[in-house]
Amino acid sequence: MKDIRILLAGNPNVGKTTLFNSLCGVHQHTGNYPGVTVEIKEGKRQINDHSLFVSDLPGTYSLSAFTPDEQVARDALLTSNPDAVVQIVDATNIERNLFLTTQLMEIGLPMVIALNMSDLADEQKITIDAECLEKNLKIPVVRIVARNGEGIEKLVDTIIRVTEKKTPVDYKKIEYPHSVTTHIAEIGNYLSSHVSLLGKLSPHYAAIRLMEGDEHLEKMLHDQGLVIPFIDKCDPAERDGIAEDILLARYRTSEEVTTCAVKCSMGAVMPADLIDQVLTHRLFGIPIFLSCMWFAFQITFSASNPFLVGIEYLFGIFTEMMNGVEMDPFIRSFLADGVIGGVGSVLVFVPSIFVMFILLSILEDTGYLARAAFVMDRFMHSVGLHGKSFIPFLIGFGCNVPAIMATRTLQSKADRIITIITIPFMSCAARLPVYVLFAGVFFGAAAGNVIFFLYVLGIAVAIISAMIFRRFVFRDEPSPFIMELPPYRKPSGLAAAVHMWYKGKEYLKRAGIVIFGGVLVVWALATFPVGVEYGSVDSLAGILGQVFQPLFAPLGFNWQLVVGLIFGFVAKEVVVGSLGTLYGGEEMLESSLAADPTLSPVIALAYMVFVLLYFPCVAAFGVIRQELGNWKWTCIAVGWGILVAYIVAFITLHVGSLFIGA
Amino acid sequence: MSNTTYPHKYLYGWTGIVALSTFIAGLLSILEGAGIAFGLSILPDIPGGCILVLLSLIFGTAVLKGRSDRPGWISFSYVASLLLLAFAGCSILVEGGNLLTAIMEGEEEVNLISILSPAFIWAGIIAIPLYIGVSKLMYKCSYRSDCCE
Repeated sequence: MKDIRILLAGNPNVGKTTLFNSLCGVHQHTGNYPGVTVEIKEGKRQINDHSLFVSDLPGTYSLSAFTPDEQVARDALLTSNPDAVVQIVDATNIERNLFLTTQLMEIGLPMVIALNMSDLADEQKITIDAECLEKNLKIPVVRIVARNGEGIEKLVDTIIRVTEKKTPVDYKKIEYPHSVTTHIAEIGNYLSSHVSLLGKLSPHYAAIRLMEGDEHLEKMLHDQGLVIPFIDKCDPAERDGIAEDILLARYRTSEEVTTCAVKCSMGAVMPADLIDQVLTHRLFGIPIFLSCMWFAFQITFSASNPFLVGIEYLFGIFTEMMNGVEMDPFIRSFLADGVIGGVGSVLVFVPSIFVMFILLSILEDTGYLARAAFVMDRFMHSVGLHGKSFIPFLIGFGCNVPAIMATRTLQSKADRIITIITIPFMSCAARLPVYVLFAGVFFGAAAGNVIFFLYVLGIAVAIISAMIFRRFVFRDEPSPFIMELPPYRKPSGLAAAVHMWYKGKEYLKRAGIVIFGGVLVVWALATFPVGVEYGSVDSLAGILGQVFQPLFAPLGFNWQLVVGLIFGFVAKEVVVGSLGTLYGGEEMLESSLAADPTLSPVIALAYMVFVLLYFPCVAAFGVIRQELGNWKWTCIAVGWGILVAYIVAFITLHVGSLFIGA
Repeated sequence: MSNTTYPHKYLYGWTGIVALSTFIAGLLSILEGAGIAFGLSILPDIPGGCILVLLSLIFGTAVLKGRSDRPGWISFSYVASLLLLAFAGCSILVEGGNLLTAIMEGEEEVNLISILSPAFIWAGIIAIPLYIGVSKLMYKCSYRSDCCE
C-alpha cells in the first residue's frame, strides 16, 4: 500500500472543489463564483494499492499571495512537500491560467495539468491541442469534465504514474532576460550554502522568489540573520524593474504555449458579453437583482406552504395518537409540549429552508450571483464596503458562519473587519422560520412582501453600519475590486438538489441536536416548579421572561417573546421552538399567536426586525472571534448588533404603528 | 432597420409590442394593487407590477438600441424576454403553491383559474416568440465570425 499526497491548485473558480468531490466522492460545497474555498479541505481515495490523500487549496492567480486565503494556498504549495501538484486549468481561458503554471513549474514538484471544462471549450469552439500543450510544458495534460466525472480515471492513473517516476522533473524553462538570469544564479549559489534556512524551497527557486519581490521569504531570511547578495543592495526602482521583467517573461511563456496549443473560432461577441451588457447595466443591474430576490422569497413562502400545511397535519395526527394513549401526565406534557410542540414547530419550516437553498443554488450555478456582486460594487464602494464583500453577504443568506470565513478573500484588514461586523445582519436560513411564522400569522397574503422587506432591511442596515465604521473608525478607502466573472452555465437540477439536500440536512441535524436540547430546556423551565400551570407566568420560563421583559417593554414584546429571544442566542431555530413550547404546541402556535391580545402586526414586525438584527448564534460568535483574532472587535461586533437591533425595532414599532396600526 | 441583413424585421416590431404590453400589464397590476379596480382578472400586485414596468423599460431600451446597435437590441430583448419567462414561471409556482395551500386547508372558494391571474403569465406568453427568435439570433451573432478576442 502506497500513500500519495496531492494538492489541487489553480485559479479561482476553475472547478477545484468539483474535482475534489469527484476524486474523493464527497460533497463539499461548490459554486459558480470565485472564493468558495477559503481553507484547505482534505479527502481520500483508495485506488488498488494506492491511497490518494487529496488537499483542495483555495484558488489563487499567482504565488504572490495578497489575501489570507491565497496565503493558505501559497504556504501549502511551498512548504507541505506533496508527492504531486494537480493544477486545474480552465480550458476556456488557458492563457491566463498558465501564468500560475509558470510559477508552479519552478517549484520543481511533480505536476499534472487537469484541463477542466473541456466541454465548455468545445461549445465555445475553442480547439485545444492537449498534446502540443503537454509537449511544450513537458507536463502531462489530461482533459477532464469534473462536473460529470469525465476523464477522472485517466487523471488518477496519470497522477500515480507521475509520482512513481524516479527521474527529476524537467519542465519548460522560462526565458528571463540575461541580467535577471545572472542575478538568479548568483543568489541561488549563495543560498546553496544556507539550504537549511530555506525550508523546503530549492535555492534556485528561492532566488527567483526573492527577485520577484517575495517579502515574506525575504523577511524570513533576514530574521535568521542572512544578508542576501544583490537584493539587500538593490534600490526599490531597480527591484521593481526586475520583478516586471520576470512577470513579462512568464506572460510571454503563457502566450507562446497558448498560441501553439489553442485555436479559437469564436465570434466577435460572446453570448456572455451580450447578456452581461444588460445584467450588469448601470441602471438596470440593481433593479434586476432585487427583482430576482423578490421572486425568490415569494416562491420560498408560497411554494413551501403546501408542504408546511402537510407537515402540520401529520403532527396533528401524532398529537391525536398520543392523546389516545394512557400515560403519565408529566410524560405526556414532555412529549406533547416539549418534543412535538418545540421541535415540531421548527420542523414544519424545513420545506421553506429547502426551497430557499435550491433557489440560491440555482442562482449561484448560473453565474448570476457573481454578476450581482459586480453590479453592487459601485454602490458598495460608495458606502465604504469592498465589492468582494457582497459574496460573503450572499453566503450569509444561507448561514453566517461560512460567510464570515469567506471574508478571507478580502485583502485589507479594515475591509475584513467591517464586512465581518456587518455579515450578521444578513438574514440566515435559521431566521426564516421566525419570519414565515409571524408574517404568515399577522400579514397573510402580504407575507412574501414582508419577508422580502426584512431581507432588504438586513442589507440596508449592513450598508449603513459599514458607512458608520468607514466614516468614523477606518477612514481609508476600500481597496479596488477585481473579480473575474464566471461563465454562464445552465443550472444543473441534480447539483441544485444535492446542494439543497446537504444544506437542509445540516439544518435537520441542528434541529435534532441544538433545537431539541434548547426546547427541552424551555419545556423544563415552562414546567417547573412542580404544581404551576404549564408555561404560565409562575413557571421558571415566566419568571425569566418577566425579569428581562421590562427591557423590551419599549418594543412591545411580551415575556414569551423575550424567552424566545434569550434562547435565540444559542441558535435562531430555537426561537420558534421556544414559542411553540410556551404557546402550547406546534398545532396551537399559530392560532395562539393570532389570539394573543398582547400581540399585533406591528409588534410582530418589530419582533422579526429584532430577530433579524440582534445576534446570529453561538457558532457565528465563535467564528467572529476566530476571524477577528481579538476580543475587542468581537465584543464590538456583538454589541453593535444588539444596539442596532434595539434601535431599529423601536423605530419599526413606532413608525410602523402610523401605517399598520397598533 | 431597413438595411438589415438579419431576418429580424418582424422580431424588432414584436419587441415594441412586448414592451408596450408588458408596460400595460405592469401598470394594471399596480393600479389593481392600489385599489383602482378595472374588473380584469389581473392579480393586484404592486411589487410585481413594478417589476413588469422595469422589464418594459428594458424592452424599450432594446427598441431604441435596435436603430443603431444591432447586438445591443439582441442582448436587451433576449435578456428581458428570458427574465419575463423566468418570472412568469415563478409566478405559476407562487400561485400554484397558494392554490394548493387553499385546497389543503379546505377553503371553499378555490378557483383554479386564479393560477393564471398574475400579469406576468400573460406578458410572458406574448414574449415567447420573441425569446425563441432572439435567442437564435444571439447565438448566430456570437459564433458568426472568426476571432479569438
